[in-house]
Amino acid sequence: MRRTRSITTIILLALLLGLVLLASLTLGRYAVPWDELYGFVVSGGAQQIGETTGNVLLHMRLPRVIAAVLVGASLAAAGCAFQGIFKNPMVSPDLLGASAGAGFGAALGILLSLGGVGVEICAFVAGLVAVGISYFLSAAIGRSLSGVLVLVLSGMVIGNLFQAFTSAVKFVADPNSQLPEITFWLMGGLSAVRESDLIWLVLAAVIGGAGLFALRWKMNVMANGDEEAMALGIEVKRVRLAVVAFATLLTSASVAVAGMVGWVGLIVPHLARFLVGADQRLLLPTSMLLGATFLLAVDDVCRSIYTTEIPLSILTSIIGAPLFIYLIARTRRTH
Amino acid sequence: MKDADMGTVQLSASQADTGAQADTGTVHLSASYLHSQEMRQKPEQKRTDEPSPCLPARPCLPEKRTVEPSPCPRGDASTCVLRVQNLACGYSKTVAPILKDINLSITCGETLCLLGPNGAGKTTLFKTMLGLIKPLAGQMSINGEDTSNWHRRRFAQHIAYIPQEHMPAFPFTVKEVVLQGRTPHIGALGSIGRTDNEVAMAALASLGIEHLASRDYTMLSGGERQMVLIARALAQQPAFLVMDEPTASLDFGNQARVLKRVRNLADSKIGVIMTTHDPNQALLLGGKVACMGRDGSLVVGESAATVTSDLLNKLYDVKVAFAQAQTTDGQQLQICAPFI
Repeated sequence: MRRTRSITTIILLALLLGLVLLASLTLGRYAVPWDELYGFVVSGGAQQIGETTGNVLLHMRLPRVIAAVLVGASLAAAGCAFQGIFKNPMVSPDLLGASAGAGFGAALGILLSLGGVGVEICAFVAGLVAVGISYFLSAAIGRSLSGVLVLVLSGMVIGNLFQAFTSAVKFVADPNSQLPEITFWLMGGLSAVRESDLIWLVLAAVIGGAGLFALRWKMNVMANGDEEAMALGIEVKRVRLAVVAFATLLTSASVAVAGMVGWVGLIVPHLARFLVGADQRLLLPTSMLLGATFLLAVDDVCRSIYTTEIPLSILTSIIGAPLFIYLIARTRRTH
Repeated sequence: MKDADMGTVQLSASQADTGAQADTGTVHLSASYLHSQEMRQKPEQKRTDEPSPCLPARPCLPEKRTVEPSPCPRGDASTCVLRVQNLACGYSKTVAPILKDINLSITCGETLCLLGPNGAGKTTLFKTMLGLIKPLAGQMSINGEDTSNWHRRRFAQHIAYIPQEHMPAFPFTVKEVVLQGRTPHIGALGSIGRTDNEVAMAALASLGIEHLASRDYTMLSGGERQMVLIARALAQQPAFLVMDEPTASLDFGNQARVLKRVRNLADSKIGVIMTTHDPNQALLLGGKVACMGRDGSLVVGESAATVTSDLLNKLYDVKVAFAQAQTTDGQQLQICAPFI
């Protein structure tokens, strides 16, 4: 009964995402009317509309919209998975230092003038490296201690360390050109997304998303804590490593393309849990759909309310903070 | 209110026995455990379509879905024995073991109460039996098969764990919690299927709490949560069950109701190992006791003969008085109480 209702919710959310996606294509500095978009979609080509409109739609707006969808879904899925295996609803996907690492990588790339793709690769690799260090550090020091606690602590340490590295890079960066670029990059945004980025983003999202989806049931059991999960037949360490790896792939790829986008990975799983409950079998797809819709809508606002673009993380925070407070207040009341 | 309901649906030993003696291969749902009428009407069809769920009444049936066959012989649950020999347990190889030279055995259908003061190593012992900690020396076997190379899933198919009352971080429904018991029976990347749903609902029904299925687990009372955890363990269809102080933090009535469940579980051919701080519970349940002293001593035996004032005095360092009581239906009860 509840399951049927949840599945209906998921279908409605998918429809909503489709609607927001179409609307996003029309919005922006160069407005595309609905009827032209309709003609374009129905004919499946650029023939019926002007060359400029076609260019704007295909080569500027569509890549950006797709990137927003993938980044939103990826961050939400990673947050959902992390909250599940760390048994804590206050956890976000940068818990183990993925964002801090990626931020440092990007800053370093900008400092070394590596150019767009170089910066992205730097950010992606540094994100993976930061989480890798956190994980193996915890494995090395925490043999007898509770695995989760040591992992979270090493994640905090490594995250802070990489933030310090980022500050050091900012300190030595050229204050006229590099420093502003680093600062803007760290605030997050999708304006620099290129068509060539998409293939990597799609690849990361598909591998990470499919990996987490395959582990959806095990993540449910992991929410009981290590000992109970083991007694229920879960190889706890192996599953945790796999979830951390897939979630980090998603987070690092997202941060590499979109910069630091806060709050999505924290509040979207909450919102989704509110709609369909805690079962990851439903929670994961719901989170991904909600995350995609949320980031797409926020990005639309970022690029259309003002003549220059507003960085993404400013808006996600302004929307996210009160929404989060509201959700916490609601949970308290029902408990 | 809900707690009172739980007491009403009972399963009797005779019902459980009928289940155990029934034809082996089919999904035969003994009345004691699985109430689902629908499943009972078409056992033949089930047999061809779906993997036969391993029933609690005969826990050692091999399952088609499991990777390797269950080590216990088909349909002969009464001989399924868990045995530990010269076992030494502890958390580290570099320090002296917490327990050593432990020799115990428990057969399906028996209860074994672990008694002993705080710090005697009860938890360490049952964690080793669950395979959560590797034994430092000695060995453990289930039905003659050494478990030292068993992986987690294999352990979970044979021995289930009911922790002390716990609260998950997320608002799972009762049914979702019970379905977690199916985890060792599903494939590596798989998820819950129709049979798993049926087994989970049957486990809830056997405890008379199917009305809780869609409730939020985190909102239940302590007694209800304990019942849900028992249902989850039943859905796991184990041969043995480890309960960590199942009556801790329960009120007087719920303690008795949980103990009654424990006896019912044993009647349905599950071997129950439980830790307790109350020697009266061991006396009430009958079956075996293992009394662990803080000095590493271990006394194992039948509860009525083993739990004496001398032994309790030695274990807990208090003076104990014993008394006889008669229940309204004529049963003789042994009761003990410390005095100061």
